[in-house]
Amino acid sequence: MNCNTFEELIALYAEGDLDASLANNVESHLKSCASCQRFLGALEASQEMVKELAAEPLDPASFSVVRQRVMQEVNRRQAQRPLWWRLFSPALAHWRPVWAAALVVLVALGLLWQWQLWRRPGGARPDIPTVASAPTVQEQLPGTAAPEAPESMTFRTKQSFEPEPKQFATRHKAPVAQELALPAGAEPIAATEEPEAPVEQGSNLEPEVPQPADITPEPPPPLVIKLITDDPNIVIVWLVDQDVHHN
Amino acid sequence: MMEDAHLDPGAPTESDPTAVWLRRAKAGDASAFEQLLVLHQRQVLTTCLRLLGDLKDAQDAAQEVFLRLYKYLHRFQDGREFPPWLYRVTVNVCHDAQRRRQRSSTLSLDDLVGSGEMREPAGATDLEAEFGLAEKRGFVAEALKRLPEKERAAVVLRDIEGLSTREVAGILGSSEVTVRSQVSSARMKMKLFLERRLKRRS
Repeated sequence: MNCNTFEELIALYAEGDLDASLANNVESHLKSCASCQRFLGALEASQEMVKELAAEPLDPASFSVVRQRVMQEVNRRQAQRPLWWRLFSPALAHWRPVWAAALVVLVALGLLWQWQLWRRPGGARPDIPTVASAPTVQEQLPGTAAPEAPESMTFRTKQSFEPEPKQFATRHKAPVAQELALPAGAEPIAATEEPEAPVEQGSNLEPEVPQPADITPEPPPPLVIKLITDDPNIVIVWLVDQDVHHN
Repeated sequence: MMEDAHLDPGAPTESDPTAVWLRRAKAGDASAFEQLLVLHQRQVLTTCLRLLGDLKDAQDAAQEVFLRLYKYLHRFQDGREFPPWLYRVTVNVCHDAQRRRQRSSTLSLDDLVGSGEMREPAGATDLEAEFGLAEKRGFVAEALKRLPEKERAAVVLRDIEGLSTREVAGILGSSEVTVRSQVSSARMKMKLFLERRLKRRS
């Protein structure tokens, strides 16, 4: 090896970067080469200067500038995250018991409210309507003589013969009883309605708009439609609130 | 710094502040991330400064390092050593910054050495006695700026940050033999540059 090759090794030897065998070779060469000894001395001096640069303290303000800029951007990105992520992020882990307690309270309040509704008489209990209640309404209506529906008839049976409400409303605008289209085997008995006051003919082309003082507070009686099927024991009674119908 | 570089790669413990803050920062805790930043800001900013040679550029690069750290923190696997990973991000950011930066056409140390201008006989010059400390630091910083990019990274991590050759190789993604070659070449170039500067100054 010549001195140029040794210089490359000396550059590593100066900082202890050579293994033992190469370090021994360098040391043996240095003992007999004054030029390489000078090279080693100069290299050690320059390395000292390099390490002094490493020890150079930086102004703390230099760090704070970086820290402020970084955290400003980090906080901005954090704020863009969805609310659920922020609520349940580990950064807010100490709030988790509060969320859990609030959830428990909400569930308990909901259950208590349902229980109060269940206990209240005539409350929001989901009663199933039956036709059995129809005769009660029918008794209050004048001019109806259809037989009462049996107690066992359910609302579901009634629904199966019920025409669409929209079609019925169109057909029964006239204040007279009309026959309904029934399924095969069904026979209409009567469709009665309380007759309205007859419209005066020839008075005016435009109907007279009643004044607020002329409006009677009594609602009009409901339209009653009764249907029978093949089974004589089954009678379908349908009540239509005319007030709602005309409005 | 060396203590940071030799963190226990095992499971995070409460006695390891980096592991604790890292675990919380990965979970999205911004205050824990700030603590992590405070713990390692010296490492990042000084490395950026040595690699780029300008404080403003170094601050911009350090900011980018920590924002990349925040963005990719979830990719950091538990059990790995954090400082080498942070060094790797720092070196990559500085390489990107150097590529973007339109460097002034300065004479590189390679040019000086190759032309024989710096092939002066090595003398036992008492460098430290002749000039002030600040001026000498400026010469070293200038010498670093003139080094090739890979040699500069190797010598900064090895001689200024004080990492071992194996750690430097791991950070730069190269072999230890390559790192030794780069460090040896950088040291010789810097020695020649500093000798020339000091003699011209005197």
